[in-house]
Amino acid sequence: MVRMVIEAERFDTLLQHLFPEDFAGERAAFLFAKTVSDGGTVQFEAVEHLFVDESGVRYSSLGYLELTDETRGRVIKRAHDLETSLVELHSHRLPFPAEFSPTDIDGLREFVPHVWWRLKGRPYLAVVAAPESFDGLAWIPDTERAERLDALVIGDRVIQTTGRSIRGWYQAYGRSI
Amino acid sequence: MEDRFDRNVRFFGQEGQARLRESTVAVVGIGGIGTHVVQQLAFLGVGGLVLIDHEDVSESNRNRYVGLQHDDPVPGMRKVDLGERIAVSVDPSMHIHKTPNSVMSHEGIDALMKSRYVFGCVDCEGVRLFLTEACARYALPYVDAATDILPEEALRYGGRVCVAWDGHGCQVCLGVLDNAAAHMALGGESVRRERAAIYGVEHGMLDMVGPSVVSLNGVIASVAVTEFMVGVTGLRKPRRLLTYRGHLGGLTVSNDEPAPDCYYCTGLWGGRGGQELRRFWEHKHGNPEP
Repeated sequence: MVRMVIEAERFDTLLQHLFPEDFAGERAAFLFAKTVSDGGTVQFEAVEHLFVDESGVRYSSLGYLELTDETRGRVIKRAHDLETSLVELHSHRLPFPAEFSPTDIDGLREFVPHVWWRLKGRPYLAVVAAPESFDGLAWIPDTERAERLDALVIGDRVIQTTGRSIRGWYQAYGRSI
Repeated sequence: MEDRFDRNVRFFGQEGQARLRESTVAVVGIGGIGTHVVQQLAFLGVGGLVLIDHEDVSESNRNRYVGLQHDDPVPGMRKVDLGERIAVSVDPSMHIHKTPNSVMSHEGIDALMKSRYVFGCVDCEGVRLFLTEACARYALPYVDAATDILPEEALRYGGRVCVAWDGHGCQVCLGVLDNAAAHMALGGESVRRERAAIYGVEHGMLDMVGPSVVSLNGVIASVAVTEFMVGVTGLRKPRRLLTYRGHLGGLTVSNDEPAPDCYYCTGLWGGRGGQELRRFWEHKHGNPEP
């Protein structure tokens, strides 16, 4: 089981960033998280965040988001300095349950091996936030394959994910990274 | 599971119904075939629809668009709005996103990439080639549906459904797509003028409107949705190519094997190459129309 743990206040701020009222396009953010393994559960516990502003985005629209290379390098370096794992989050603005799109999955397929190499194999988590739900995929070094994110723990509140993305991932790329 | 799907579940089971419910399907072209497709997807219980069409309904559409009412304002009604009304009238809980733009625009590409399955219900070979490329690159199962009435001396009519489901066959390698027409459509005005100067005025450049009837559209749409249904629910693997010959009263299933070296099925399938569709498209064909 994979869970993401975040304080309620940080989560509220994160949602405001991902779903701004004055901008209809997709937005991105990163969390720097300690990973805790307990039995069969892996938790990503947020300790710091970075909200990506306009200067860190190459292109954003209602249905698509692409970050600059500088942004990617910056967050990897910060995670390296903090000795944390990296959690990427982005919003989907269309009215569908949360699920990574084919372009998201293509991007993860390129980015995750790079992050693993740069951060020496630390666990990596990607989260997509839709208007009314969440989903995510995690890469844990010991398993060396994508795992579904099961839940978000916000303070004492638990939100179950849709679990839709894992099927799309395996449909496109099988069980390997 | 809701009672409304009881008869579905008796056919393909709870798991099949759940898979349909989790599916987000893009329908490109909300016209004679597309309106049937939208309606049937809603009855099947598909969870999400992406409706893509840049046109408005016209007066001559009234003979075949299911869901179009006699007092709908024409002109003045967008096809995506008609599609939404059809779907919502069957299942108000469906998640729907409308894109009143060409699929070959930034908005169209963005919307297409939010789907898991694609129906092509268009009458342009260029768009078909674009969808073939886009779906192959991102491993999106693509069901293309088309009708044809050839008002020649020996009247022939019917249609066909071509399913590119898993990288083993597509419109190009099965010989369904008219490559010359596709490239002319994608080549822009200068290519069309050049070709007209060499070969004379092409049929397609005359802006001719061909015959079209509701029943042929309905047959082809039903075959297309059935192949989608069996593929998603796991009843069986979809057939690659089915041809309805209405003038003979028969449906044939092609057993032709796809070309083993098809660029779209083997070279592009599954995103190999790692490029993002927008950059790929801009590089190859220039900036999409807004």
